[in-house]
Amino acid sequence: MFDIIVVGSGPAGVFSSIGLTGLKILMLDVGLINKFIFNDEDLPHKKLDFSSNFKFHIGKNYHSLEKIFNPELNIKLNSPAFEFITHRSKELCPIQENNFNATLSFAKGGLMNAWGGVSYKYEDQDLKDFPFNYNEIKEYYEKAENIADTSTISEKSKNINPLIKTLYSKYKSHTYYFDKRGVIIKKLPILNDSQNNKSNYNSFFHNQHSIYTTNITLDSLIEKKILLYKNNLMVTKFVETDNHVNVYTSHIDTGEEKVFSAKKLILAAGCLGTSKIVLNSFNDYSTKLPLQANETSYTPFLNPFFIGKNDTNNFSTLSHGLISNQHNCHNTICTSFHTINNIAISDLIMEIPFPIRNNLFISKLLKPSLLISQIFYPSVISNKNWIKIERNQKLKINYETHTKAQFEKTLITYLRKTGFFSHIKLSKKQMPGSSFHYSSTLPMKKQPAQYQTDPYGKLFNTENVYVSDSANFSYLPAKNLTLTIMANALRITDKIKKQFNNI
Amino acid sequence: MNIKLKNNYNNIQIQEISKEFNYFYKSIFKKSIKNKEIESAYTEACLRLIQKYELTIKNIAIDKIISKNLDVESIEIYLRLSHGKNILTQKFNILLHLLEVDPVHQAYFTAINKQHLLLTFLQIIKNIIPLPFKYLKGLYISRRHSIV
Repeated sequence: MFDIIVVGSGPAGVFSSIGLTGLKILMLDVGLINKFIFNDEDLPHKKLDFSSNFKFHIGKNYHSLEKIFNPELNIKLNSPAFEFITHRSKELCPIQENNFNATLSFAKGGLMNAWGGVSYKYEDQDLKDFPFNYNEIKEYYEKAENIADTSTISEKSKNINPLIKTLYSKYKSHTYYFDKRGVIIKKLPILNDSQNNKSNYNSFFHNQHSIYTTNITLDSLIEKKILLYKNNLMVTKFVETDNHVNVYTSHIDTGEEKVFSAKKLILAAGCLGTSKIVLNSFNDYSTKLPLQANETSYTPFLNPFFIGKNDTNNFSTLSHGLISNQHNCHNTICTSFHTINNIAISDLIMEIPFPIRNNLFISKLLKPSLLISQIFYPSVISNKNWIKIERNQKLKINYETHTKAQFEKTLITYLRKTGFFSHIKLSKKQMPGSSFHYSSTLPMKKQPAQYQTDPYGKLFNTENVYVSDSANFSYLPAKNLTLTIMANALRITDKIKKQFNNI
Repeated sequence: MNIKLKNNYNNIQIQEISKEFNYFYKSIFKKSIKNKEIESAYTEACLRLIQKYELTIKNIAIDKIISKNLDVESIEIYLRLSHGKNILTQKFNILLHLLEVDPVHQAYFTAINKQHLLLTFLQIIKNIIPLPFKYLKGLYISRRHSIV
């Protein structure tokens, strides 16, 4: 029998395993492998012939062209390099959605493969609804950062896009204006893969050579035999007995069922996956678990002085972000700025209201001057936003209550001060769920009730079942959640390890 | 990687799409294209994706536009501005995506040389002016030839 079974190989699963090093760990995962591997010399900005470029940008299944027909598809997941992230997800976990665009991943590393690397820490105001404060998670943030090597791109770096440099320097010369409005623009801490080159980081391309993903750590954990990794297995449910937990799995291709046993179970299959396992384990087809998600929108900004400048691809696409109203997590808005290197001009052409031939010419001139802001809203707490499972194992998601905040207009006013212009009509709000930041279905509470977890992630009414992914978040602020998932997993497993040591 | 068509497509469909590809290309670039790989990719993309997704406006007589040699660019801008996303716009978008990844067409998509700001603004204005004329022309042709 194993000491621990960890379900899932995303940030929660991998960092839970790190925290439990020394125990006998089994990781169960669907773990579909990314077959789209490329080398540095293959990078798409080094223009190759048509068929090689086709492989990078369109994909042999014409994956990236699907966005022409379905604008709700996430722009990032449209890249052929990201296709594996959502591969077979509709088949393995069918979802019935109302007003929600859920993204599930059964890839090794999960949705983290699409992560932009932005690693915010939740501060005391963000943890207001959590049963612990910043001091209690601080050391785990530091551990997580050490494992993943957080750094910001230097201000003097040649890799910062000139547009971003201009935005930042103008912001600095108007700090009084921004301070008065509770706005800061700052360099984003990015989790890099420390062993590789940090330059030319592109958040819209699966750049395995510059962004840290937990796959790097997972591979080393497997190699060092710190855990046993079994993939192609879908965990369906768990059953607790007196002193251990049985975990039921089904092979994704053959359907063969297998049961694994361990003293304790850690669920880290991602918020939606974990919720499904929990509800299924209790044979509960009626309870609606609360669901939180960051709503998001895109607004393009234009700096007239960059129109017609020569286009280059050799800059990081994401290095700075904006935070507005930092004092209350329920109102704090986060924005990240993306330059549009390596995004197809053809994505923009049909958005400009001129004939195609003219558009082609205009968009070529406008591209170097465009900055895309992605706004993340804090989640809305409402009992109209929920998730449940049906008897046929289909997930059902309902999302009715949206954020009332309209930050786009305010952002346009703020950025005018820095020489960047836009119009509210150009803003595009994405359907809820498009950010793929989901949380709080099994929230941590000081005094948990049914379908809640205690401050250390232990599921109510169980003895040995823990939740270490974002399902246990008590609230979802606008700040990116990934680093907090990692730190919280380390915090929870530290407690579990102490329990083992006491035995 | 060689881009080849799957075998299970109807020959007539392939020929129609091939004609359409060449006609659309000529309408944008005012010259012919002889790249069979891009043509195959366009045909495959159209056949795959248009079947997969339901479209809001299906009944645009693209064959009529080609056989009567009509100004497809004017028709497209009229349809895009008055009807929103439509099959003609989507087909043009497929074509542009494919051309953008072709190194031979890079100059049409990437500003390689820096140019003077004033000249750039003048060029943008020059490219904005045709809009009302092309829109009205598109409206006239679409009604006159019952394109939609």
